[in-house]
Amino acid sequence: MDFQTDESCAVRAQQGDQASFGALVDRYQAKLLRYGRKFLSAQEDIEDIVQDVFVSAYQNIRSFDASQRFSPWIYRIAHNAFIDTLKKKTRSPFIFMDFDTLISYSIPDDSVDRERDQKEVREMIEQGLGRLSPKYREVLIFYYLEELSYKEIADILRIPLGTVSVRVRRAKEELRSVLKTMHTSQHDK
Amino acid sequence: MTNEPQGRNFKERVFASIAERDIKIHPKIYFVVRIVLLAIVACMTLLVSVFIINYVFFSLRISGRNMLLGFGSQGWIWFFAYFPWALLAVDVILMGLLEWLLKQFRFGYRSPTLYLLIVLFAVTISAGYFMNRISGIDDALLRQADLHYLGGPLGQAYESVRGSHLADEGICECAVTAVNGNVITARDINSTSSEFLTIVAPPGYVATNSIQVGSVVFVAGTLSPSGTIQAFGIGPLATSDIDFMN
Repeated sequence: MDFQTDESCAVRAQQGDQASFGALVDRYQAKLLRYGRKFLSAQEDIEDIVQDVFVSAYQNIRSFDASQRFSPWIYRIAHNAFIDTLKKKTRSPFIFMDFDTLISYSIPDDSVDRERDQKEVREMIEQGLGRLSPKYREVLIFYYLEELSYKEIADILRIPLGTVSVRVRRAKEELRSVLKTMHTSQHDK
Repeated sequence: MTNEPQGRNFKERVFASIAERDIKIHPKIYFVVRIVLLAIVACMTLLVSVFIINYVFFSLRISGRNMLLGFGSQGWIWFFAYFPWALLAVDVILMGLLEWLLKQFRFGYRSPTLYLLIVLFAVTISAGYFMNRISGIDDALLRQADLHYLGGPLGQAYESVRGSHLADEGICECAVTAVNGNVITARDINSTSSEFLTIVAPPGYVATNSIQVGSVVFVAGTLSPSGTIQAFGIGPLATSDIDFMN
């Protein structure tokens, strides 16, 4: 099964091949659990949520378009499940409002940008991710930890490509600011 | 790999959950029908939205209120005061709904929200304008409404499209019954009353615009305590519009 691409496994799963769907579970369970643990707080039962993500993926596998990549499709289902979990917890409807999708932004070359500061940002993410707002937390996870492209992130979050680039940039700025505050308060102690 | 046994457990739990809950894979047709329904609802929303804009243009034309824009600053103020804002609000809500529906498609969510809304408004307003000017649907519906063949909200809308009786506020659609210098005597065609109105036209207006007995005009002015309308604007209603008048 390992020689098959995700997309061909998905096509076989669409035809009712449970072993192919099992292969997809094997390939994506660790990724989705990591995404869930980074995105949601530690109090959530991430395994149960991710399990439901796979059940939903199984039920809706025939909606997957085999001409597209599989990973954005399954991440989209996980994103919806995690957002629902967050919505149940929060009372404010405003954290999910997307004012940054209103206009277009220029899109930098994401591969160059990624090469340049990946190591630095990865370290920063490990330290301060939990203190960021969900929409910034999520793009950093997708971009730096899951190594998805802007286009794939745009398809998962259903936002324009330019919005992805601007969110990544703003998320890094917010992360730097959070870390600076953290370090300052540590020095003060 | 230490993850392997845990991985098998997890996968087994996923399949156990599928079996316990008797989850079946949705057939392809389920998703096709959903997309088709979504597209149909989006098209219907767009059509209703275009029709509302068309009706707004038609109501402004048939009631003569579009002429207020040619009556100077006071005319503009009155135009906005009598504009059918409620219909525009309904259309804005429909645009919001349409925008949300289009965001379900890839081209929709990849487009910035504001640009998509601007395009939708431009398309709706242009289509509504051309529907009003070219299609003749409003004239046909107005004839049906005049004969009381149209029922429901559509019938009510077209029966009241010519504008309500507003002579008490200095606005009227009047049939001229006499002209004496700058003073016009006329009857409000939207009123059931047989009372005549006295209208004082702006200086030189009657002579330069060949107002005659039998002309149907749109008048906007201030109503004096004596009941005379001191008009700041008078415009002839289009012949095609007059044909439908009572």
